[in-house]
Order: sequence, then structure tokens, then C-alpha cells
Amino acid sequence: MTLRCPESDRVQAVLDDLLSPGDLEAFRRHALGCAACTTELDAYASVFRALGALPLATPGPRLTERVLAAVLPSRIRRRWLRTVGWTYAASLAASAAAAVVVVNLPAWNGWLDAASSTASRQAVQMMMFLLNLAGYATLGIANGWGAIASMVTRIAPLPRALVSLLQHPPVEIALWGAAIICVALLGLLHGGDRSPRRVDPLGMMGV
Amino acid sequence: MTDDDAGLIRRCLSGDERAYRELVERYQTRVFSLALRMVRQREDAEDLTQDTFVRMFRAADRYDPERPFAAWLFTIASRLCIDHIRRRRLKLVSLSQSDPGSDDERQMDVRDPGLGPDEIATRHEEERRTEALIDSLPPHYRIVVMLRHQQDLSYDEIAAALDVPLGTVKARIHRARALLRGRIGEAGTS
Repeated sequence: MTLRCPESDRVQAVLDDLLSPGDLEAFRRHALGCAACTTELDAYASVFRALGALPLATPGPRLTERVLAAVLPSRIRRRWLRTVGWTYAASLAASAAAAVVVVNLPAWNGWLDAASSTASRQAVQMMMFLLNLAGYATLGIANGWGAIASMVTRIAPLPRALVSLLQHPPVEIALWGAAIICVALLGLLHGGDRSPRRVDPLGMMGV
Repeated sequence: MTDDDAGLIRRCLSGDERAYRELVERYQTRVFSLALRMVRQREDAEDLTQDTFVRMFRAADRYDPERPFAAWLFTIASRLCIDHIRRRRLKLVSLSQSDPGSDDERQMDVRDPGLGPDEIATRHEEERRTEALIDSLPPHYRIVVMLRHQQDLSYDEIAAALDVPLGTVKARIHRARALLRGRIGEAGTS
């Protein structure tokens, strides 16, 4: 068994290249005649070699894109815009659905009959049409051809982001869905006009 | 430090998205390797790599170009890894024992199946053995060894990265190597 040498505490500093040239030379001279230090030096040298030879792990092939998706400003903006687009589409669809429900309520029909008439129904139709048109116009302008970019240079990437937003299939489907719901609602209202409730204030219809 | 790193950061701050990609591609393997060695699960390591870059880019405007970029990046990565291990500690089956002459808690974690068997099988036997030995080290020893030997950080940079005194870093690295030396010796004689 090799006896321990107090100088062997310096072995790691030697391998770390932390000793001054003078101290290093002194240790080398000492180690030449010290079996304990030579053994320690060999043992730690193998530890250093093994640690130095450790390979880097290879990440998955999609890590770069995943990281970039989380940090690139344009992708963050696109994600935000996609959320806005979905919110718009969902709001439009929910509004249309709510309108259908409300219009079919008896109380609403009673009020509508009382107030009514073709003019008020056409006003509702027009309002729905304008709302839908405004939605499309907003996206169209934003989509469109640098109109916003020319006005506000700081939001220049917005049109590009909106284009990519509109080209995103789920958003496109949602917008079309919302539009179809609106058209269906208009059709429903229009159908109501064609066959209005029969009002017979004088009781003459059975005659 | 390389001027390229500081230049890339400047380009990132000016909105150059190619610089983002270049910086990520340049460092993701090293960050991922550190994270994987620390947390041992590929999925967790990829999450930590992503978090490291997200935090780095968020703080990029506060980056001091006088400081080595790699050291700064590994400061973020190391802290995230340590936080992750702390959070996960309750889930690990571990045996705690005190380290004589040290205030550090020494944990001998029971190894969990972090790396896939196929991946391990393809590696060279010596590398595999070294990795296994490193995995057996307590986390606060493991990270200093990885930062020193795999990421080539100086003692001062490691102290700054981990926010611990320089003396503590030296003591941990020396103890970690001593543990490895003993275990390599045991492995060699068994």
C-alpha cells in the first residue's frame, strides 16, 4: 500500500494548470521521487481524460425550431395574431348564434311583431351585413398591401403576419364558418319576411 | 468570449432573426448536454434548453458584452437545472447522507432510466461508464464537474454562474473528482 503524501493535494491544481511555473517545476521534481504523488497523478489524469472525453449529447432534430418558435419576435406576433383571429371568428360565430336564439324567443318575436315590420327586419339584416362586412374589411385592410405599413412603420410586419394568419387553415375555416352562420341568419330572417305571421285584427280570415 | 457572440446579441436586439437562429444553433447542443446530464430525461432537458434561450433572449438587452457569453448562458441554464432538480427532488427516491467535513447535503440518487437503452448501447463502454459515474454524483457536484470539464468554464465563471463563493466551487470540484477517482478505481478493480 502506498503511503499518502501531503504534496499529493496539489495534484488537481497541477492538472488544472493552476500552479505557477515555479510551483509546477517544484512539484515535478518532487513527484519524480514520490511514488504516492506519481500514483495520484496517474489516477487523476485518467479522471481528467475521462471527463474531457465526454461527448456532447445530441438534441432532437426539432429542438431548434421549437426554441425559435418560442423566441422569434415574428413568430410570437404571429401566434398573438392567430389568437386574435380565432377570437374574432369565435366572437362572430357566438354573436350570430346568440342572435338566432334571441330572435327565436317568443318574447322577442312578440316585440318584433309589435315593432315591426319589414323595415325593422331589414335594418337588422343590414346591421348584420355591415358587421360582417366590417370584420372582413378590417382584416382585408390589415392584409392589404401595405396600407397599415405605410401609416405606421413600426407595425410593418403586421400585414405579413395577417397574411400568414389568413392562410392558416383553421383560421380560414373559422372565418368561413362565421360568415356562413351570418348568411344563414340573414336567410332565416329573410324567410321570416316571406311568410309573415298572419294578423287578423278584424277576425275576417276565416270568412 | 468571442466578438461573434456579442455581435450576434447586438443583431438580435436589432431584430435580425437570422442572428437568433445562429445563436441557438451555436449553443443548443452544449446547453442541452448540460441539462441532460443534470436532469437525465431528454424531454425535461429539451424543455430546460428552450427555457434557457427564452430567458436569455428576454434579458439580452441587459447582457454585458465584457462578460463571456457562454458563461452568462450557462448561468441561466445552471440555475434552471438546479431549480428543476429542486422541484423534482420529492419525486426522486433518494438516500441522503452527510458528507464529513462539509455543510453540503450529499445525495446519492437512485438512478432512473433517463437515457434510452438503445442510445446507451451504442456508446463507447468507457464513455458510458464515465457518464454513469457522473450521474451517481450529487447534483451540486455534478454541475460543477460538467461546467468545468464539458463547458470549459473557469472556476471564477462557475462561481458566478452558480452564485456561490469561489472556495466552495473549488472544494466541490475537488471532492467530485476525488469521488470519481475512487469509483473509477473501484470499477477498475472489480
